[in-house]
Amino acid sequence: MTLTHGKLQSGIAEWRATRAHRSRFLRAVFQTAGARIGAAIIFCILVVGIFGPFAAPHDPAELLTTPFAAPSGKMLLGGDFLGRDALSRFLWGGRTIIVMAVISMLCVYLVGITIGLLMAYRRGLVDGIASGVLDLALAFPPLIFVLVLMSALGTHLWLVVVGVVVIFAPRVARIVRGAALDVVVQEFVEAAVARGEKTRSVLSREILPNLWPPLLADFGIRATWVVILIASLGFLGFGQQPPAADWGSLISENSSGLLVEPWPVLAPLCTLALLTIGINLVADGIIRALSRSGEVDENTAGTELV
Amino acid sequence: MLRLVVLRTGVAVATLLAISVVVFGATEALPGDVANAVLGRNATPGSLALIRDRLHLEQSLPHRYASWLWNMLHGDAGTSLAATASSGGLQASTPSVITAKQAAVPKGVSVTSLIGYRIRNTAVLAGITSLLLIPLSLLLGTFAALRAQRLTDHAISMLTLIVGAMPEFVVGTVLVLLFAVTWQLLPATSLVSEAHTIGQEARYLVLPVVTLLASMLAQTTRMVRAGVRAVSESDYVQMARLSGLRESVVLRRYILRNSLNTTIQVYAISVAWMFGGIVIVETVFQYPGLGSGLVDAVSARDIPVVQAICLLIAAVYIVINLLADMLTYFLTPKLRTA
Repeated sequence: MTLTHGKLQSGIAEWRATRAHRSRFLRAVFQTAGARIGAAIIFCILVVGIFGPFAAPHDPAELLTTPFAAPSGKMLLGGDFLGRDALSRFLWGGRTIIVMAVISMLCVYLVGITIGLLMAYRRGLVDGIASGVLDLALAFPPLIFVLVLMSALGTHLWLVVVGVVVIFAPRVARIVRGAALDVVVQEFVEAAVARGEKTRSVLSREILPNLWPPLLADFGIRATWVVILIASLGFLGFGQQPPAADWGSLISENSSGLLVEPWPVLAPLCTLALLTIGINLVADGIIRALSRSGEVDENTAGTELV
Repeated sequence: MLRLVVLRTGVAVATLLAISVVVFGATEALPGDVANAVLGRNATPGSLALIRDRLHLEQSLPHRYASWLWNMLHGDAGTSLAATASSGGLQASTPSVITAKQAAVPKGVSVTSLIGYRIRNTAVLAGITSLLLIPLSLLLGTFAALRAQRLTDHAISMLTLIVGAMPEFVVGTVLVLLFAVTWQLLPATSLVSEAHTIGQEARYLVLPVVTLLASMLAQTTRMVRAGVRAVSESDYVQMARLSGLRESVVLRRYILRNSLNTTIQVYAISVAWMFGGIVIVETVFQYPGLGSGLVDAVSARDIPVVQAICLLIAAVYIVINLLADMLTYFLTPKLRTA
């Protein structure tokens, strides 16, 4: 297909309009101090998590001292339960959680949006069958489902991602379906279908752009849940396997030394607490911004989930 | 109303059946042989044969599912793969326990006897937490909704935002650090045993209950607030106010009565998170309940125990949601007379 001058012009105009709209929205989100603090916290933790391994002073698996040795100039957080450097292990422990959370979030939204859009667009039998399957998925307590998978297939990191997607994609799909049902009956969708647009482009270019408010309101809270679930699985011992560790498993493996030497537990503990609070503060900012412009109801946004 | 009740019960039974298929299917109908998957590198011909025999792997899948479900309904959850009569406990054993040597004495422990006292412990934990959760969240949520956008509301929102954001194991560990390590007021772990008196047991329960309550309270308060707020902004409440009814009457007869249905649903849904929270909290405090039992069983890949606990949890969740819906039908005049 050749790109005509007129098409190029309208494309640029559209891009400018969305960019202006996007920056307006971001300004509205970060208008509150809470959202700004939250974003700063998330940024710092991402930096520590991703670049931490480069700054680690020791090998995270090397036995250097006695178990739960007190902090010293050489080992700032002291030794862990086996006598490894607690700081180095902490600096190595963020990557998996962050990478898995990002991959999981992408998959959750990709799968959830696709299913939700198709349900709302096709309706009829597709919608009926999919609704039944979604209801079943929603009837399962989240953590329990991942544990069933783990007992069957063993402990794998990819299984954590699969579990998170199976748990949260139905919830996203339900939100998308609900919002899209109002959109699919509108005239511009009919017009696009009459023009002969492919289903994929009707869904992604005509319907999806109208679903951003409920999706954005959901996004922040969903991110908190995903991080909590992944960290909790790490804590239960179903994340990174020893000798590697993530921030969740660092807390459980060192908790026996809380009385002697709390630092190996405190470092990952505070980081995870701050991370989830940071995400929640930004989520709150997003919901406030959307409700100010009347796109979602502040009182109910983010509470219909589970 | 009778039609609705029958229909809703049918849906609940169907959901439970579907879940039982998922639980059974996920843990049994995997590529390869369960016995191989469970034993891994520790497999010997003798131990493989023992596990195949215990799980009745020689039978066809539908047949095994049917007899498994039949036995479950009769309170027989099969035999544990990990715990043997000699090792006794759920935690004390790993899958490697079943070696060729022990295969000669195939004396398994029944799952029912393994999880019986855990059911009681978890019921105590969940029961006490719910008893505190419902009035507290109702009070905080309603209060925040009625004082919307004022200082109390913001304070409650902020507190629920921060506490609710944190994973249960973070809240639990912080509480252990404060109350068990720093001030040494309460025990850090909850190794409840039957020899304990109620007073001793209460001390063990404080931290687990507070942890579970803290994480649950944030979510439920937020949802109760949303429900009450939606009603208090409705036209009929405005109308009641404008027609000069006293504020206490408006609150009791219009706002609270109409937000009751949403509130019931909030608690029904929150049971799902509660089970997730229970798994974490029991592990943090080494509380011997169903949650920590499930984690141990999953680590040991003790499939009959996993199946039994998961099915039990799903059943409780579904029954509570069913009861909540029944209550809703009963409380909604339009549905009651339908």
